[in-house]
Amino acid sequence: MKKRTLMTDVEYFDGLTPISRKGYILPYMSNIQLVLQDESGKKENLYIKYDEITEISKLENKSKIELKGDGNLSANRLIIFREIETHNLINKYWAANKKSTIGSIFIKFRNLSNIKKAALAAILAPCTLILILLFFDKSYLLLPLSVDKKFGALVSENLLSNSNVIDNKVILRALENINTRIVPETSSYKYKIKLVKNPAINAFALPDGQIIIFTGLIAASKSPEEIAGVLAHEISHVELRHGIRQLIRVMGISYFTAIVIGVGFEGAEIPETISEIANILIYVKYSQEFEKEADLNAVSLLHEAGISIKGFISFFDRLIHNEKTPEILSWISTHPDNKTRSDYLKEKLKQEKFISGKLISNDNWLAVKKIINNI
Amino acid sequence: METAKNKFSFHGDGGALFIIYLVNALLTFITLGIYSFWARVKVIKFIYQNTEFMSERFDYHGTGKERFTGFLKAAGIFIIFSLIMAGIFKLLSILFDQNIAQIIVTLIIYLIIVAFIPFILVGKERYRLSRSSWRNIRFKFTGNTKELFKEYIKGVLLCLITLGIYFPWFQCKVNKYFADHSQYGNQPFSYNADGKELFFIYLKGILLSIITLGIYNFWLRADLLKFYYKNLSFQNNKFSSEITGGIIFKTALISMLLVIFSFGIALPWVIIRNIKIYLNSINYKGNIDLSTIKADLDKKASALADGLSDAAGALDI
Repeated sequence: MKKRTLMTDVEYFDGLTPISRKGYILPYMSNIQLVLQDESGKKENLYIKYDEITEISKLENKSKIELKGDGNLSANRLIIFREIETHNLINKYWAANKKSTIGSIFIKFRNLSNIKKAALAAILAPCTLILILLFFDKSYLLLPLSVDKKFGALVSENLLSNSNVIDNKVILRALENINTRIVPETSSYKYKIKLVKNPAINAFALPDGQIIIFTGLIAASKSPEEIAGVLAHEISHVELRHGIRQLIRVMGISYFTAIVIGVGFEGAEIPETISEIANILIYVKYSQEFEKEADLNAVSLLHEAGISIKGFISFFDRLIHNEKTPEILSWISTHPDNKTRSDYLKEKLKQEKFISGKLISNDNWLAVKKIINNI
Repeated sequence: METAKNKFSFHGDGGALFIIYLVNALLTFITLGIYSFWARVKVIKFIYQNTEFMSERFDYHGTGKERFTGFLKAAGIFIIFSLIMAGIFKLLSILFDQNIAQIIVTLIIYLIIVAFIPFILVGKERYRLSRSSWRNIRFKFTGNTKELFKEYIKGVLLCLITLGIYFPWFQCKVNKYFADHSQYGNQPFSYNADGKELFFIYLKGILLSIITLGIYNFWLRADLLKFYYKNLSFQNNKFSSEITGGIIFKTALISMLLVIFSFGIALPWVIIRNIKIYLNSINYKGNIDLSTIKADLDKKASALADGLSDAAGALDI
């Protein structure tokens, strides 16, 4: 015998016509009895199994049970009622009747209020963030070095086609000599230095091992050790695979901000603007991290090669004096400011216990400077 | 017989939408983006279920799973498509110069994308209507791609020849195509508009917009909405819209200020406010005769077209 249960008035839509029928339901553990009454008082009995239910939801004070359609015309059927006790009871029976545990956990999660869902998700989100930082950020290890090389070749093709590349044997040989001393023995890259005519004090490395130095940088350097510092920094970018890691990060960051900000509001412009700003800020933050990593690695490379980092430091110290960027802008710059860089390098200088010899001869250095000044 | 006037109303509130948005953002993040398909469905459901007409709510039955599989299929199609294009490019660059091959392949890709637009428009409308319901009876879209494609080719060509003068007539034709092929259950909507009337609405609107430095544009939009609804009917009863340029102007201005000064946080409230204002202005003159309406399901409607436009969006096409 079935136990007594909650009897609840309902409105029933059969999915075939827009006109509803009145009746009541009796929810039991194994099924729900639906009794429909027409105007003449004639009764019709239907038994609904729990696996016919596709969704139970509540909107304001109306509860809604959606059922799979019966017969060929698979229009779904709908039961609407107002009693909250009945709603909870049916929900409980529905979850209990789910055969798989995943299914019932899923229902339990779905039945949580949105605020509870948000709280639960807010707890899980930092875990995901950590996982992303741990794994996603290491995903470059899965890419072979040949990817870096192809990527670098692609960039250099676009970059150097519009630049004035200077092929001066004396300067290039001097730079190569310094470079060869710094490159670690275990390196799997073939380094190639290119000199570009440009007054800016700048140098950069491409992921395939090409190092591009502006004439302005050599003109601004006071000693070969200063250039050695810059080269060590650029070599570190290549060895630590910063190019490809930056690419993965930029793609990842724009993916995540795009999916998280504005999901469900497609077509609205505001979320897009917000996610673009977020992109830039996170990108800048990461970029500064890479620069610091390259600086510190440069220190190790220089020390292993027996070169003092004093030149590296004096280079930054001189830049501080010429600096025009107000300090407040440093947090949107891709590099840490020169003062900060000089400070942590000076900290490293304390570890230096050796006296370094000459990198290149004085005559050679003077010849380099003379040529640079005439370019 | 007195004609009843039935209004649409909207009951959603910004706070609820904000929480939905919050849950969506967090779950999307946790699932590395996969939840976004379910997230979008949540928002559409919220909007439909809070829209009321003749004391009954609308409902949306699309599911995240459908949207997700639609996207996966579309992604597969994109991969195969790009492989084929790469193959054609290789073949052409053997036969001709590489630059010529590139031009030809780019042209082919553009042509295919243009040809795909009507397919996506029809597919999206079919999916949307087949998943929308009122009183548990689904809507349905019966239009086919070929018809829309012909309409587009004809319309675009005539617009070019007439230097845009044909545009109002073209717009009427497109509106008619979409409305006449939309059904509630087994009964179609209908749209009958006079292109000439729309032409003068545009003429007045554009001239006054120039004189008022664009401000009249809000009133033009109101006129266009009114024109659309007064020509739309269902069961021989007409719709109408009471929106005015002043309301649109005020709504746009307040929305903008709210979003800017809240750094975007007020967006859910702004969306709700906009929906309310636009929906509340729509009337239906008459009562719907429910007894003649029967269900007519579109079993073949799928989320593939939505998936294609999602995938295209992801590739920024």
